[in-house]
Amino acid sequence: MNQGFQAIKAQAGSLALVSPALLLLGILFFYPILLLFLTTLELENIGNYAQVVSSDTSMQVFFNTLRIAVIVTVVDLVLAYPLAVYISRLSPTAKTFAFFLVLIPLWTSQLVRTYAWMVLLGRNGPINNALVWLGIVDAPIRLANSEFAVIAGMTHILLPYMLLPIYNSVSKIDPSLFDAARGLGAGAFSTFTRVLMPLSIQGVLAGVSLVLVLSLGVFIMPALLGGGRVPVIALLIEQQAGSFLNWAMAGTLSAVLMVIVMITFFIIKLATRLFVRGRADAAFS
Amino acid sequence: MPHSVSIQKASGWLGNGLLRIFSWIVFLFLVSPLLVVVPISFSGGSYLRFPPESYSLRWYATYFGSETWIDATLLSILVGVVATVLSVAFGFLFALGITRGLRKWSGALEKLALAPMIVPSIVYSVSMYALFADLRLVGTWYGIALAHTVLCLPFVIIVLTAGLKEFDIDQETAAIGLGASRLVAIRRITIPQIRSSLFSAAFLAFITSFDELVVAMFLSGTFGTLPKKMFDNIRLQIDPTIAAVSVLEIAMVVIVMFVLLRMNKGKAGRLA
Repeated sequence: MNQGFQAIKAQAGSLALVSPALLLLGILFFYPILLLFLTTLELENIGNYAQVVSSDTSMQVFFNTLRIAVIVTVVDLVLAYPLAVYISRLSPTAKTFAFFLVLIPLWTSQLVRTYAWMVLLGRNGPINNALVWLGIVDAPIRLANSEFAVIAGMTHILLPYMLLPIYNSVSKIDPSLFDAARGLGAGAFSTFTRVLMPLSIQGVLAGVSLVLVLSLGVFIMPALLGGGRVPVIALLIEQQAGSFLNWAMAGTLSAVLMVIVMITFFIIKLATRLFVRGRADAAFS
Repeated sequence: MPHSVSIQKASGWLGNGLLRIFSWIVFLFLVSPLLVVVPISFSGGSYLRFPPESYSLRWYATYFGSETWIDATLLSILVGVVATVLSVAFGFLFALGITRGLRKWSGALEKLALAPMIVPSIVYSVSMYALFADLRLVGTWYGIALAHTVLCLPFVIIVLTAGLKEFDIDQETAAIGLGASRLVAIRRITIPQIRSSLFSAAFLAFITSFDELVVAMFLSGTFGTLPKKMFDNIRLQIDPTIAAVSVLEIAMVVIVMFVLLRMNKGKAGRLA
């Protein structure tokens, strides 16, 4: 009886501890987003959905955003996976240094990093200078203000979000498993496909979902590195709200973007559930 | 079969060598864009040229001498400090709650609190603008600080929950058993031991707010935070003042990182 009372008291105490944050999130996060959704469903606004779906321009912008997000995610995965494996095998001191190199760009302002890419890809920037010096091109070419620039900048800015979850999984793998695999006659390739990959798939999927979701909503890089040539949803929303003062349309586009983000998120979650269970069992049986 | 073993060894070496070269190229890709900004910030000309033709401190002088740049910086510091204090306070209580009791619900609650991470900032900005327009909070600095508190909260909760899970809860129970109240036990036993997590959380919260552009752009009226000033500067009149600001920000991050590394006794992995 007393014990039960204690447990209830502890529960109530914990509930009191979490409630301020939940209240804050409720009022300043979930409520306004719900309100946005409900407003787009009102009678005078609901036609906006039809307008978005039937307009070639806005559909093209949605597909463009998705395409760029997928490219950035794939490139980041290809760059981050080997790097995560490499860092996990370093000595503690070297690991600290490696983390330093990863975290400094992560913690530096996105605007600073975007500006850095503008310098790097500029007409008189180091890359153009190198291309001219090497004789690959005769005169500086346009690298900034293009989709290439946006993808390069996004790949750079989102790379740590791919790397850290993958590192997290890879570093938990017992290194003796690799010796065991080698001892049992597995080559580098089958060690990768049958030991390393199945045991790190959870980190890979976490990284993929993070980078995919973040790159769907990205605003700064397309705005500054795209030079108006790279239409993405975030820019379209900002244009509707900021330039045309069409907040109803901005709301509808936001709602559609939110739905796309949530679908993406849940697909990957489902994949995680399928893969992680299936593959982990296969690896251990 | 010594022959096949030596082939395997050689291919292993080759693989490791390739992995090392590839990894250092990726490190270079991560860091080199930041290094490019440094010489630009010391350039003597007003043109964006790399490497600069002459060197000077004029862009630093421009930054420190410009009222609008300094005002924007001070505003961002104010917003950042308020958002940090609020999000660490709320986040600390939340992390305590889900690591003490509420076992069954803690996973679901944590996921709920991390939701702001996956909502695109543009969607959040449009939503908050509608809410704040009704409440007449658009164009106030504390409106931005409140919205930033929400965005900082997930980072604070991740760091502090990890810190509290590492902490041995029996020490707190022991202190309570010895007659301390729960509050005293948390203040004198728990908080000193998760101090480095608290500092990491506060730093992450501060840079999340200090760096945030989109929400600040929608919710600020005539005035602007530092990111908004930087955004306008890059868009309209790209002069090297922005490079000087960038170098100052990078220097801030590097210094804080060294401090945090020392506090975590060199375990950089814990900062991630």
